[in-house]
Amino acid sequence: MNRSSLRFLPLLVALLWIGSTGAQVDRPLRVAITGDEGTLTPYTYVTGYPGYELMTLIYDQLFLMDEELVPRPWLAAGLEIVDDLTYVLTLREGVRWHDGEPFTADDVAFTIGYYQTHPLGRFTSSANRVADVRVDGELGISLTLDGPDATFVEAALADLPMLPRHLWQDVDEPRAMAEAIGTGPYRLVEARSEQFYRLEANPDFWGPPPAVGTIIAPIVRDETTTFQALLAGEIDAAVRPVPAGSVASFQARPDLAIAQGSGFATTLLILDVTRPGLDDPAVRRVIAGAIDYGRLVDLLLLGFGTVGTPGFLHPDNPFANPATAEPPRLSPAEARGVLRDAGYLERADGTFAFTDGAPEDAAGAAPLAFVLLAPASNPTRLRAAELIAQDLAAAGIAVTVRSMEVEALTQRVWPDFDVSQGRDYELAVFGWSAPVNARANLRGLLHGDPAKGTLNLAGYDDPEVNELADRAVATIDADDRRAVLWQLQERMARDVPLVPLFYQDGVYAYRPSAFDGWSYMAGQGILHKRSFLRR
Amino acid sequence: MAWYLGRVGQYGLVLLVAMTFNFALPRAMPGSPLRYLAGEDVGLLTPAQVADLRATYGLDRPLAAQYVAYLGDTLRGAWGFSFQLGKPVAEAIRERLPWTLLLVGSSLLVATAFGIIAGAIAAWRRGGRFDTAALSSAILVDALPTFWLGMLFVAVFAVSWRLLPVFGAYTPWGDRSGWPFVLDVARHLVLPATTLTLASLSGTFLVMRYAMLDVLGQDYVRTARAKGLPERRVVMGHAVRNALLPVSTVVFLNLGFLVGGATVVETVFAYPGVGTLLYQAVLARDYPVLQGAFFMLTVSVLLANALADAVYPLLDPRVRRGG
Amino acid sequence: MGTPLAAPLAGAGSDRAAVGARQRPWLAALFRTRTAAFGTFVLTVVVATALFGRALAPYDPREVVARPYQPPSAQHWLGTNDIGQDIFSELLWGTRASLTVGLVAALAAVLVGTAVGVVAGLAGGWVDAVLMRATDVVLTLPFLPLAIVLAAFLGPSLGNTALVLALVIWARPARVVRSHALGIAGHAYVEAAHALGGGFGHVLRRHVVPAVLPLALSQFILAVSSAILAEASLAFLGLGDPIQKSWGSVLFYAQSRGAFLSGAWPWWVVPPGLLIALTVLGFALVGRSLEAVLLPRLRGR
Repeated sequence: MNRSSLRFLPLLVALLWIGSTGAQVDRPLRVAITGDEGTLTPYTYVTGYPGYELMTLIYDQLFLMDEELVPRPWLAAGLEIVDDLTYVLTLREGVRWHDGEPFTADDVAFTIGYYQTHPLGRFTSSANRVADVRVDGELGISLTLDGPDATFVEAALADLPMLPRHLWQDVDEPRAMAEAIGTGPYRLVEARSEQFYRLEANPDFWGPPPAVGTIIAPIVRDETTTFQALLAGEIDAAVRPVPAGSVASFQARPDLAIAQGSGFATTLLILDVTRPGLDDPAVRRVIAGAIDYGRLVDLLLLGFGTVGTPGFLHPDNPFANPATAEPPRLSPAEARGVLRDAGYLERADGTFAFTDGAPEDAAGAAPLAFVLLAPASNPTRLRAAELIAQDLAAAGIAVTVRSMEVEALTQRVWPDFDVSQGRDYELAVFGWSAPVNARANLRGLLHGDPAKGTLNLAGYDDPEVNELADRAVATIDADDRRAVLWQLQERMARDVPLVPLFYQDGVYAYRPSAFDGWSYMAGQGILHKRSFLRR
Repeated sequence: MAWYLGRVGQYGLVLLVAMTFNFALPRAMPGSPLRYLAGEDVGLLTPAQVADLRATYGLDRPLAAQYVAYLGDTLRGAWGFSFQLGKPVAEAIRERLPWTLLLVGSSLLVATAFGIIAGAIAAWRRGGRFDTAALSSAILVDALPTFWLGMLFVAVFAVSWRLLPVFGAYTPWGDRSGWPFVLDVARHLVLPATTLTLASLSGTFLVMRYAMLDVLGQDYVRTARAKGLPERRVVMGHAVRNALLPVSTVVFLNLGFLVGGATVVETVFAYPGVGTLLYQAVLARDYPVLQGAFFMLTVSVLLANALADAVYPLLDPRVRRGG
Repeated sequence: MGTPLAAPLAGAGSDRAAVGARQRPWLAALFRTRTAAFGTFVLTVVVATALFGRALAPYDPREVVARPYQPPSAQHWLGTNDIGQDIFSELLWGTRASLTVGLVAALAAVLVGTAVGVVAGLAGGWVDAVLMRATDVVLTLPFLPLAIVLAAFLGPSLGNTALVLALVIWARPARVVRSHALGIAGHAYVEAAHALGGGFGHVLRRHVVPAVLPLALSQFILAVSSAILAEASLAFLGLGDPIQKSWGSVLFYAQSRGAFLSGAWPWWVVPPGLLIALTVLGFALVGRSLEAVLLPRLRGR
């Protein structure tokens, strides 16, 4: 580098410095999201949170959950449930799509049909509950279900984003349809893959006026980068929960505020109950009892979480059974006692072995040992696996932790996302997203028929539980349904088809000077439609 | 002419093998792209619907058929549709490529210029204080983990001192035209480009120094000196020009290395380049993007090699005369 | 990130070749210059730590011994990590894994590379062409993306990490060794040995292997430094084995569990990075010194 170019160096530095104040003219709300959400249409968004919530700023549902998870009329002005199978809806008047076309009952009928014929996990299964649709004028529509469904309002009416018929009717390949046009309070103005989304308030929105003019959602994959950007003032909020270790330092900052609430996303230990050893409820009870849940919450979440309940449902869930709120606890000595009573052989080194009817043959007996899989990219789950292995070793069950890349692990525990294809694991640290818990989808977790128990990764199959699970879905009356769900939770506590470890609290940080209207959606977080509408 | 044809044939062969790897490896990875095709709640679909979906994306065809189609499509530039991003692969790459080129290009430029100048001076003043200092820092810098350096840069310059932005290639909500945008891009470029430059600095420097030492010991340089030509002209006119020859090869080789190294740097700074695109595609089993991006990387590295082959005769007077 | 070169490089002060150590050039190279001596010293310390670090560690790094996220103190020199394990002990334990991965990967890479190079150089013809095109393919594929795909394919474990690294590193030594083997094959005494009825194996054993061995050694040492760096990069991207304590896995947890957000990075991120850098530096210095001593002899023929 010669002298003349060196002379420009201070100038360059000065220019870069000036640039830092010049770039921020308009101050839209900047909310970092976790990954690319496609073109933000119902067919291309990726994550349930925040993707679905971002997408439904553009698209509206017929009902909208409030912060306490009660569905409220939204595009539908009224609903009459004539009998268990017939739902008659009246739509709101004067609603228009972003392109000015009116929203009518034809759009609703089209949307349901489209989800039925163009498979998409979340929407197709609930749309498929509708056996018949009858349009009655511009704003009336009547739906007939194929069977009673207690969760139809939450899982279908409050979930399905409405599609504009005039734009989608000729679309064969829904993933290629990139035009994000809905009736919602925000319009998608710009989308750059892996970079950001820019949404602007819809001036013609039919409902409460949008509270923020422009929302920018930059994509920041990395947790550390996200919060460094928040600390450095480059973003105003993040949809990720603040890592437990940093909550204290965030709380101490005058420019940031914290919104905290329950989280329904469940971290759990799943097990293949068809394997030798794990097919024995006594062994499963020892596993569930030996884990120090309090230590997991204390060390991994620094207390910002709730210990898992054996009945799977979060204690704040309206259907949670108070009798199964506490995880079972067995001291190492008690755990060993249970294993001895169940006929396992305690060896000199403190481990247990299968006896296979030959108690004296200690040397040749197969050890009671399992491999525990944990996703390599998820440090919290890896640490959980590490601690669980220590707990189980104390109880006499040898556990080897193996980390696997997350898609590879999913392929082992849930091949092609189809439980009828079986499974290839013993123990694994896994997780279910908030909706599984919020909707109390215990049938999905427990039913032995793969068509019904679509989330049953354990291979658990019990005729009584199957019958209860069917009833939980078909029972419309809230009190009756709760009674059935309570019974199911008691069965889960006794049989241990899965071991819920903890629910991580949502702790969200934001810059109140940029926007202070956030509301906390129970079990989920601060990014949802109601946060961005004036009350 | 025959030599050129042979070279082209060899490059073609290498390309074919590399493309075969590109096809086979992603599919050999355990896991499936279904999560991105059917959304997060893919578990709620019935097996029949899943089968439908696989058929739609051609995932149910025999591998051989997929392979043949892939070869033809890739060469025709029909790279298909990203499973994860919901847009054509070519478009996704077009959006990201300029940023990788900017990052890699600026790093390559700085590293090459710096390496050549420092290498020349170090060799000229061999054993001197500059030589010793430059040589030890080159080896030292080479030993630093790139991602570690990048993370420390962010922690110090972006978060603690707030001098430069933490992530991205530009401010999405800022002015995106004229000088403010150029400045904004430059500010975002400083840290990642510095990191990548440091990671590739020592290669050029060491080769330049070595080549200069070699040239300075040659007869014609001694003759020039003996003829009483000014030292400056000897060094600049003769030595540097000839030493640039091996350096040019290294620069082109460096290009391939930089594109790979850019993956880590882009990840650390959330820079929207091809590297992060590729990394995300691996995690999501996004076969079309993997194939498209790998194809592009392979072709660009091959092109760089071919350029090195082509430039070599131009730079080396002996080869020119002989050829 | 390692030097992207096949070309052998002259080390620091290569011109001051030691006199009087002709019989043992390898040993002499270790202490030939001040920088080489420094490298040798660093490597000695690192190897000793790998061997005895577990005994010296104040705590078992797998045990939870204190509250998480503690800053350095008299009890915990580098503080504690996200679940209350002692970071200093983690680093001492991790030395063995990091070093082993580097050594195993480099050994495998150089064995394969040397074999390919020797065979290609001696056999010539189509064997040479095929082998060299194969190395071209490996050199052409971008290193890190390829390693990412392979690591994801094979699954995270230290053995697989070493395998992945070996698979992408071997091409460079293959190229270098081949060019020297070519020279040897054309040599008068080798041709003479052929003429005297010495078979391929004989020539290989008596002439080629002894001539190539020193070169392979220096390539090996350079490969170790690339492998250690690459292992850390893979671990950082979450593609290493986070279950095993290694420098890379300490960095992985530090990065992903908020060392940069809680301000713990000066004692959680900086030390493992410095250890990696120091070790790589040690190998690089010794490797360059070896090369400088051994290569002129080979080149001189």
